[in-house]
Amino acid sequence: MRRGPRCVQRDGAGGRPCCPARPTLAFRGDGDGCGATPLLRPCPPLQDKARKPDWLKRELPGGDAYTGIKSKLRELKLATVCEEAKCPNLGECWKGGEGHAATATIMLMGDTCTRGCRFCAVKTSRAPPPLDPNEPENTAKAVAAWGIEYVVLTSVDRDDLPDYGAAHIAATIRHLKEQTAGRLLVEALVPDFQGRRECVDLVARSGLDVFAHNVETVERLQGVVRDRRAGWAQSLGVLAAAKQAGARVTKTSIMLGCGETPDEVVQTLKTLRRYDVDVVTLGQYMRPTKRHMAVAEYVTPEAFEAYQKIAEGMGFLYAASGPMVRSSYRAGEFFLKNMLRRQQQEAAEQAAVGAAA
Amino acid sequence: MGKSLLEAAHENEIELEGACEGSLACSTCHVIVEDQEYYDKLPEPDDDENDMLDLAFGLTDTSRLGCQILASKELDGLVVRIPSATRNMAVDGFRPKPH
Repeated sequence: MRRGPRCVQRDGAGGRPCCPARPTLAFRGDGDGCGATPLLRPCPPLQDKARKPDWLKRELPGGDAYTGIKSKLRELKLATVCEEAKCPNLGECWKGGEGHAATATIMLMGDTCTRGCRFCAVKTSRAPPPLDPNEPENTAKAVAAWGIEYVVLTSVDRDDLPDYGAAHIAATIRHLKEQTAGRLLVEALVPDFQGRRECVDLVARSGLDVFAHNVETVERLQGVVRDRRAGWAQSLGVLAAAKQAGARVTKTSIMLGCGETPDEVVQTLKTLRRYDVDVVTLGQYMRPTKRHMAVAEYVTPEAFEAYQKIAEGMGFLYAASGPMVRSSYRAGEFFLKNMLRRQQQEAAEQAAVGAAA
Repeated sequence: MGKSLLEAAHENEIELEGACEGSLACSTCHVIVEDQEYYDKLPEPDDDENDMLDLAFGLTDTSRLGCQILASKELDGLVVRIPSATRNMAVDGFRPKPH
């Protein structure tokens, strides 16, 4: 393929090259009036359909807590999804402070996933390196040494493994509980294990406190946004099965700004509640690199707040909704606060029943 | 030489997605080869590529995945078209109402 041919963009009058000097492959458009496809923007350099608004500010990582965690993680050879997926909250979560401990989400089973979802910056390969059999125990020792009170575990998808990594994850959770004598609260954000019930059960019964699995988007956009091996029904099935297997709390997350409508979001929340999902988080999709899906819309903070109220009204244990919210954003803090609140409510109800008797 | 069309596109700021970085786990780099002649010059897609192509939006008889087309002297002058929408996004100008 020779570099050098000019980009060809036809106007309605039938043909006028634009930027003849610009070296590019010869692409022809096939829609949209000017003849160029929505995907082609020969000049200026490509931009998202919407401009990034001011409310999506990002604090650059820094500070002692941050550098402390970073070196500890390297020392303990732990990988975080925070770094791998370029999370915008990294600076804030790792810094901690203001009454909540620093949180990081540990990524298990390596930094390479077998799937290629359009929103995700994690590396992809058909055959990632084999699992480290010592990872469950080493992770547990490392996290125990770290001294945090709430940890979120997550992983890549491993469709190359016979059990999709379920046993490995379950073992890690068990080790974590053992190493901390049950003090540590564990949330696991897990793959769909291709819907295999035994795999879901294995993880749900490993002793974890919160079983999380992300539906990512509304039903209509599942095939657009996620890898083809993922799906709406499958993910709902996983969440339901986890509850049935005994998981105390189930949790899921969706990204807004992928092209969904408000009605679809509300419908999604209703369906999740019907499947007895306890926690939902909603955040703005942000394009990690140019090689990923463009942002369809930057949803306003007000709209996020509205969804929060709607979700709370539907009876979720809690909902976290905001442009910068991610699945494990301040997960420990919210979990503890709301579980406590629920316990207090139940105690109050008990007392009322007792008094009335 | 030997570079994939996907890589070349990215180097030239062409907006061709490559969510799975060329590992045959998605169909976001789907391109349509304009000329039957050039399409025939390309080596046959293997099963893995075909599996992914089957799910691509706007599939045609001369569709290929951009990450699987490797540059060679033979292909000098190759012209490809990017489908006007990837699966489902904003087809026929539909824009959802903002939240």
